[in-house]
This record gives sequence, C-alpha cells and structure tokens, in this order.
Amino acid sequence: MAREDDFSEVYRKYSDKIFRYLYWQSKNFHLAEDLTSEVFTRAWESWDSLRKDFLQAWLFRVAHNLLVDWYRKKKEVSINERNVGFYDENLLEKLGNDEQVDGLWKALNSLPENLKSVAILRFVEELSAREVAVILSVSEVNVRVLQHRALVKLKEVMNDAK
Amino acid sequence: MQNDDLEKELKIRGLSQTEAEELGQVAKSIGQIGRFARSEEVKEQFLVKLLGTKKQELFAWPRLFAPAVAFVLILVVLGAGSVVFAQKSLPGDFLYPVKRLSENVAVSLNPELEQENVVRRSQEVKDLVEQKEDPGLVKDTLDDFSEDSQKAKSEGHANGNIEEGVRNLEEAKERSSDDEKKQIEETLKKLEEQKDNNEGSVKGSKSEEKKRGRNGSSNNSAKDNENNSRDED
Repeated sequence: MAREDDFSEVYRKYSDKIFRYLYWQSKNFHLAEDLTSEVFTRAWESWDSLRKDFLQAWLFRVAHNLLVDWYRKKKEVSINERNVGFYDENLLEKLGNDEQVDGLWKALNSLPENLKSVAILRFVEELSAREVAVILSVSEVNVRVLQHRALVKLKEVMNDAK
Repeated sequence: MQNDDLEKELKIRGLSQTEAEELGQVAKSIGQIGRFARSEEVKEQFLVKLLGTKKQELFAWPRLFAPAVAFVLILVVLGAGSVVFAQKSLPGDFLYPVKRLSENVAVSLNPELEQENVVRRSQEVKDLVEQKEDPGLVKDTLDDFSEDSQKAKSEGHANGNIEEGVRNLEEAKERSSDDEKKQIEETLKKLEEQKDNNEGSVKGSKSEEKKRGRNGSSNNSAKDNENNSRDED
C-alpha cells in the first residue's frame, strides 16, 4: 500500500497547484478539474518510472501540454470519462462572485501566452525561475526577462482597472 | 517565491528600488488573489475513484502499527532463535549467558529441571576438556556443577542424574590435562563427601524418627494405663 499512500500524498500536496494553474490559464473551472484529474491519472499510470525529485515540474509540464493540446485541437481533446464528475461547487460559486478574481483573470488574460504562464507559475505558485524554465522549456534567463515584462504589463492593466 | 528575492532579481535587471518594490507588490497581490484550494472531499472522491482508497482507510491503523508489530516480531524471532542456538553454547561463548538465563527461567517454572542442569554442566566440562579450552573455564564450570548438584540434592530432585553427571566427569577426566584432572577429582571428592553427609543426615533423621516413634508409643501406653485405671474406679 506504500505506493498508493505515496501517490495520495503527492495528489493532496500538488493537485491544488495544478488545478490553479489550469484555472488561471483557462478560467474554465470544470475543464481545470478534468485536466487536473487527467494529469494525476497519467502520473499514477507511470508512477513507478517517475522521478520523484522531478515530480512537481513533471506534473506542471503534463498539465501545460494537456492544455496546449486542448486549445490546439479546438477544444476537441477528449477527456477520459473516468476523470469527469467531481467538482467543488462551493469554490466555483465563490470564485464566480469574487471581483478580485475576475480582475486578476482580466489582467492575466491581457498577457501573451508565454508571459501569462510565467506570471502564474512564478507569482501565484511561487515556483523558482529554474523550475519554470524546465516546465516551459525555456532558459532561466528567459524566465527572468519574461517575469519582468509580465509584471510591468500587469501593473499597467491593474492601474488602468482602478 | 520570496518577494525580497524577486525585488533583488528585478534590481539586477536595472530597476530602481522603488520600481522593484512596486513590481514586488504587484506580484504579491497576484499571489494573494490567485491562491485558493479545493475541498478535501473532492480530492478524496478522486482518490477513491482512482485507487479505491476507502479500502485503504479501513486498514489505515494496522498499517500505521505495522512497523512496530514487525519490529516486535523480529525481536521475538531473534530472541527465540538466540535461546535455541544458545543451548549448544559452552562457557565463554557469546550466547552462554542466554543459555543460563533460559535454564533459570525453566527451573523457576519447574524445579525438577534442576537435575537436568547437573547433567548439562558435566557435559559442558566434558566438551571443554575435549576442545582443550581454557582450564579456568573448566574450573568455573566444575564449580557450577557442584553448586547445581548440591541444589538438586537439597531439593530432592537429584535421582539418577547425579550419577550421569559423575560418569561425564569421569570421561572428561580421562582426556583432561593434569591440572584439569586434579580439579575434576576434587569436584568428585566434594560430591562424594556431600553424598556421605546427606546419607549421614538421612540416617540420623531416620534414627530420630525411630526414637520419636518409640517415645510416642510409650506415651500412648501410659495414657492407656491411665484410662484403664479410671475405668476400674
């Protein structure tokens, strides 16, 4: 049972992070939950071969690729039936009624895709520049440049909104 | 990510302290708004569906205690194993104290096993002599033999085992060095003396019993006479 216990621990630790990343990328609550389930189902399927010291980056990378596929294939990527069905409806309602959440979404959505990804990973999830570089397959220096641009742009948008 | 680290990184890129602080503040507010958590229930539902964790939860306590139970079992197996292996050990061996301890426990449960110890000590003397071990060990074991045989006799559990012990010592004597031979002879002599003393004391006690018996019967006859004279009156 140690295998199941280890996986459950990892799911409890990282699933909110993955969910938030997918949510802020898409602002589609149900899609974020379905893709989060898909990420962790894949993690479980290849659990034995996964490098545990590289786990967080692996999870974000799979989440990022699934989302890119979903957009690329015009939202026709089929999400495995087994991963559909469990949603935190209270959270959905709370996020839907929160003006700050809406403001942040508008600000993030005003960014180009690469800046948006860096902003979510760096400022919401507080990953290191190195981890973000691995997830987005760019250099660390590039991440630092992108995060600066993202912040400048976000500041402008947020000030305009005020 | 620490805000200070971000501000440092921004300053490296040529931003002033104020600009870096302003952008750091933007990053901080994004983090505050952006972080939320789904309910634990939703997470458990997913895990149950994927892994069937309900079944696991039922057995969560046994699993928690599993390492402790395993540790105790290992101790029990090792303990039992060492007691079994210790039975073949000789004085001076690492496991010999375990053997003696197990004997003490056995005797405390069944005192008749004391006589077994007499044979065991004599066998140990024989083995030590055959293996040409340190004569000091032979002497110590002979002392233990004397002590055990005395105990067995005093508690009336000696029976035929003392004779078997003596036979073992006689055999050991034949193969022993001069020093050892002397020690064995002394032990056997001591044993013989004990035997004589015991027989003497047994004889003594038997004669005392006889005396008591006679006195008892004379007392009885005196009482009878007394009773008879009362009847005549």
